[in-house]
Amino acid sequence: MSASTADLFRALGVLAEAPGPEHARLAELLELPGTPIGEDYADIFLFQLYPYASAYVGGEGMLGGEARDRVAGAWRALGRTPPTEPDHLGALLGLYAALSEHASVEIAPPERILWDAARQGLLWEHILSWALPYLARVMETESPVYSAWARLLAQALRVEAARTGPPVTLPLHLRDAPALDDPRRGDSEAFLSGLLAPVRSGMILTRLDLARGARDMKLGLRLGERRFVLRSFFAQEADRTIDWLARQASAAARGHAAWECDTGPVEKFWTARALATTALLESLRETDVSELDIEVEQP
Amino acid sequence: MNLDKLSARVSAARQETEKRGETFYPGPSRIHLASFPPRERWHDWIELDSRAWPERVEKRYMLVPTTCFNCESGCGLLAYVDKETLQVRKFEGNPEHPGSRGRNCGKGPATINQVTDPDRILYPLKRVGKRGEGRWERVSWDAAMDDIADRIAAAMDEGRHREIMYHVGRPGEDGFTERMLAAWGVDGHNSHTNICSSGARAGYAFWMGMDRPSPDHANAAVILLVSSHLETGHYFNPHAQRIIEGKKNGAKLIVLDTRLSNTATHADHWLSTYPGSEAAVLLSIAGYLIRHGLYDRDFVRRWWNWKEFLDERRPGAPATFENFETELQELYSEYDFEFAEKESGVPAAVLEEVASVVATAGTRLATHNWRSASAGNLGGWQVARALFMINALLGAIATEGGTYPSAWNKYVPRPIHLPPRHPDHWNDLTWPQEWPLSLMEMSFLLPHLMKERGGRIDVYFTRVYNPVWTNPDGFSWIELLSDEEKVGLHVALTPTWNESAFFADYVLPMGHSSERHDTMSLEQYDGTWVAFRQPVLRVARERLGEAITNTRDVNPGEVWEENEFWIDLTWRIDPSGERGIRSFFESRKQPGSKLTLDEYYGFMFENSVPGLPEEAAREGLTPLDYMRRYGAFEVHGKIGRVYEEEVPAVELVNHVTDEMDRVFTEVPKPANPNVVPFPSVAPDDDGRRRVGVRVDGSIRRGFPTPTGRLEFWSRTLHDWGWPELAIPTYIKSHVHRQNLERDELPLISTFRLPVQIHTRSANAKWLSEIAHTNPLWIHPRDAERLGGLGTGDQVRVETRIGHFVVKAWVTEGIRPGVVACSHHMGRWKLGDEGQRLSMATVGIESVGGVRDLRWKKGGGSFESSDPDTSRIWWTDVGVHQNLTFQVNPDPISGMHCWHQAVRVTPARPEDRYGDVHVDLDRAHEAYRKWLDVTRSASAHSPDGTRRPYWLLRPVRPEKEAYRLPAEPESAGA
Repeated sequence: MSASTADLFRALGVLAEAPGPEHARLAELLELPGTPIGEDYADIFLFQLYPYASAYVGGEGMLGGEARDRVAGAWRALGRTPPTEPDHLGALLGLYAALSEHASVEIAPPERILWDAARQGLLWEHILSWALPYLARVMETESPVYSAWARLLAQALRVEAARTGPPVTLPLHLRDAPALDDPRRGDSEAFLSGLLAPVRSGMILTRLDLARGARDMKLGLRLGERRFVLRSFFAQEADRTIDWLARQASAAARGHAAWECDTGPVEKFWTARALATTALLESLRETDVSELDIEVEQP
Repeated sequence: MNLDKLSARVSAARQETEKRGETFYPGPSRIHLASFPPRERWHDWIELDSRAWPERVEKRYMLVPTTCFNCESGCGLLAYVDKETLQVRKFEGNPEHPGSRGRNCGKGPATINQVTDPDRILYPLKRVGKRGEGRWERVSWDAAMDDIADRIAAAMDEGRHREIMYHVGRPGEDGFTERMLAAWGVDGHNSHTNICSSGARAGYAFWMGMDRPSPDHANAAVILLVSSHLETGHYFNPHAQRIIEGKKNGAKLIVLDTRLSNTATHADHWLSTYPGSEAAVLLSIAGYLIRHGLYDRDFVRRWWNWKEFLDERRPGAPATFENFETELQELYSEYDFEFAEKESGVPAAVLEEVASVVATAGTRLATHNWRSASAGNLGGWQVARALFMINALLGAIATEGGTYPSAWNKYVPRPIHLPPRHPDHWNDLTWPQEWPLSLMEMSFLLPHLMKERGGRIDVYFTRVYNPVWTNPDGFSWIELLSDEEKVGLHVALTPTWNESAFFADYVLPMGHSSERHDTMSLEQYDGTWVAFRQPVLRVARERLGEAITNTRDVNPGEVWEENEFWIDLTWRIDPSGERGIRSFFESRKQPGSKLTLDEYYGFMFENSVPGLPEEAAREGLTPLDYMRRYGAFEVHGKIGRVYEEEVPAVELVNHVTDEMDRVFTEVPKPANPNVVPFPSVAPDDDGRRRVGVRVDGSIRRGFPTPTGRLEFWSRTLHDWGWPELAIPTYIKSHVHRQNLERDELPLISTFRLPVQIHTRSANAKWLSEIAHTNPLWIHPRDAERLGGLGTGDQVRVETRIGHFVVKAWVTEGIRPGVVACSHHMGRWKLGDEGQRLSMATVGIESVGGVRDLRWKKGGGSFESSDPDTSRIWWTDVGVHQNLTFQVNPDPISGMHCWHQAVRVTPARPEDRYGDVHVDLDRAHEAYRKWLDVTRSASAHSPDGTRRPYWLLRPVRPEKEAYRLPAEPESAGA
């Protein structure tokens, strides 16, 4: 990767941040259709698809936690002070660009190899371990500029993936990721949380997905955080909810298989997780859902 | 999509933008705080008006930098000047400031509260009726200035220079006023330092000449604090952010604090020491390093003055380093962990664990003590001396991650005029001979000294200083300030009302941080910088084409700034120049006319800040315009170990080396645009300048101490009457258990409320909402012992000169057997004038020598031009405990030892919240007792002078004035 490609990644990273006047200029330079505006940014990055690694590779499916610590550890291992949000996509792409620049200007071969190894490690461990399924969902949004941004970034990442070749082993985030709990074994809360934790369920369920689900299933959409909404679905109509979730997981599995890029064990992981979720949900169809002990709580 | 083509486009655009010196990438992914407005857009910055929400209304701002003036950290601020109204809308951090780097605590943004405070003083006021009566009339600046100038001129003409005194709290500037006093030939500088930081600073000064530490927290392996620098303390915000950086990088944080302060909550090791035992703990750590040979032998051998020590202690014995090490082992063998446990109450095993952590630091040990234990205890100066001894053992001085001496990390640009004059007299009201080694003026003793020794102050300025409220024994100050025979004219220079201003003759309004000029530079990391404080509305209007010659014309009301005030006053004192003063305040460009601030600062930035003219030229700006635009400039980064620098041959012409390996030269000192104060190291007998010290055959810069080395053993202390304290030792505090009655407890009062800053922030509504009272911290066990006290119950706290009534806060955050009450809050006013936001209205009753202060009305809501004042939901504004504190002047450092011996009991039926009762006779007796333990210069001076000449001293008088008078002036020991 050249120093100028570093600027491409840095510019793409900046576009994952709150838009200001500079973002319009960057969007224009990148030939994106339109100008990033605050409303779109807020809807996509603050309400639907949070641009943080920890939300996708963390076992809790939330910001922070061990996954963020692990990313922060990578910053430290590179001799840098982790920023406040070390796993923000913009921060990771900025770091990736910086490492690429180091590698490209380093004259001494051993150092160059080290910088390059650091760059590859960051790419596979902390970016490609989650970014493609994430970007696939951003592409589905109705914002032309952010949808195009996601396509461009995915394309750029695929080029980088192809350049370096897939890793032999799974990134640590994924290797350590716990599976989705089976609610028949008693912990229905963990099951609900797991459905919303992409690394466990293999799928990304946004607020918008849940709103659409309510419409499709003809259920009431109660306002609250995603787990509350999901729980209210079960309380209203558990069988339909299980069917709908199984369809979501199955669609996610098909999506993972269509990344158009050899990511080796990474794609296999995500597909396997989505298929496992599909299978688990399908098996729940045979279960008396009242035994699952999923109760709706008052908001 | 062709990625390579896109990449090349972005890259080219970036290069083009950055070539213009502009920011291409915004946002937090680049660097911390890059989401600040890029500096090239400060002239026209657009934000949505939050008050118009949900409408999207754009506001256009001009962002003008200045420097915060709420504490002494000098953090950078950016004023958002509304281009439509030309008023400041808000303050945020200035990312261009090297010290604060855009980060600010709550006090910075709260400046807007102070600027818009409905109760601020807007016009010069002159008292009507008796002093303290509370009646005022508005006067013109001209009338006030002429009156003050006439008095000063008369005092000068009659040789009464001693009767002019300037008493300052936070300087907030670097030497302007001291140079003015020097120009006036007046030894009238009186600082607040002896109620603030003299204790620690004396400890540092005896070690290395320079009196402050500059720890490199960000790069430390171990950070050892005897201070609460994550929430308060000097340079708290610049240091706090670097402490957190250090912690993020893996540094261990060790905090000695009796209270569970916010800082202690972040510590890896919190040592809740019994008050006053800190030096015992630190010496036990030093002893551990010595016993186990864990110190840097080579550093100690090269840089400690061990030879001088051995010569004194073992005359005739071989002065070998090995012999010194044996002595060192012996001297510190008593400071083991069991001893420290007995004194501090911290288990020996914990202390050993902490010592083992410290031992791993190597040269990356960042330590800091500012106030805290050093400001609380008799002998507190030895706390800093013991702390710095650990650095000195590990060689962690001016190393990356270590602790730097202050003066090497500070830059004071040489001004256009540097008066070569020194006062020809000695002011013994501020520098009494009983305290020859006091770090600074014995300011807080003024009422007692004048009561005993007479004397008169004809013109007394208080400036950002409030002795009645801040000092211990405030009623004695009221007595003094009320006495027109003793204080002829009291001029309070203050932006806001305070308790001392009520006893002034003139109250002259001075600007807040966005309404005045100053430069500041502070030792906050290993580098030097200069920050510029400026009146932002003046700058904004000048940018829009207006010509403004007086800051008063743009400030609210007739609020002025001190620079212009002092220049104007000096011209009125010496209108014709006959007194030889005016010339220091005259224009060079237009001789015979007043120096303007544009010329003053323009000269300074053009000629005395290396690198600034070049940096400004790169942007097509003058140096002054650059500073007006960006507010700060880093002069040097990475200063490093100055003491190890080899002295260049050009400075060594005809040099000689004396028996102590000090090297003297005939070459004059090279011109230096940095005029930061340094100790005055003595020349040799032939008048040669000391240029360095010979170490292992090389001539190095060394330290500005009498020996040129780190002074483990201080001849100064030894020769001036304190031989037993010449090395770092443990002095039992005045609140040591053996010095207390059975039912007495130590009261800790030396801590701030994190968002407040003494009397400065009383008019900041945001800060007051967060913190507005000061309950008494008391441990549940003590609360139980007192009959089951609960939080909110009222207690009477009896000091040795009176008592106050306060609410209890029962908490495990304090050691059992110790109570604590923040010295913030408890503000009061006597009548209508004053801060309604934060002051209770009180009455003071005087019967003989007894004074009783009682609340008439607490705080609470009120109607004003600010609708928020009608929403004030609290009435409790705290209790003024300092009134009940006797003066406790340390006999060496001169520091007021703040901790008090108190009895705590449930409030009596007649007690009411906020009551303060004081017996002035007992207060004076207490002063006498402390006076009795001094060792005066007249009895102990080794050379017939009042004070060691080498020690730092503001407005240093002529050398001849140092000589002791033939007749004793006072009744010291």
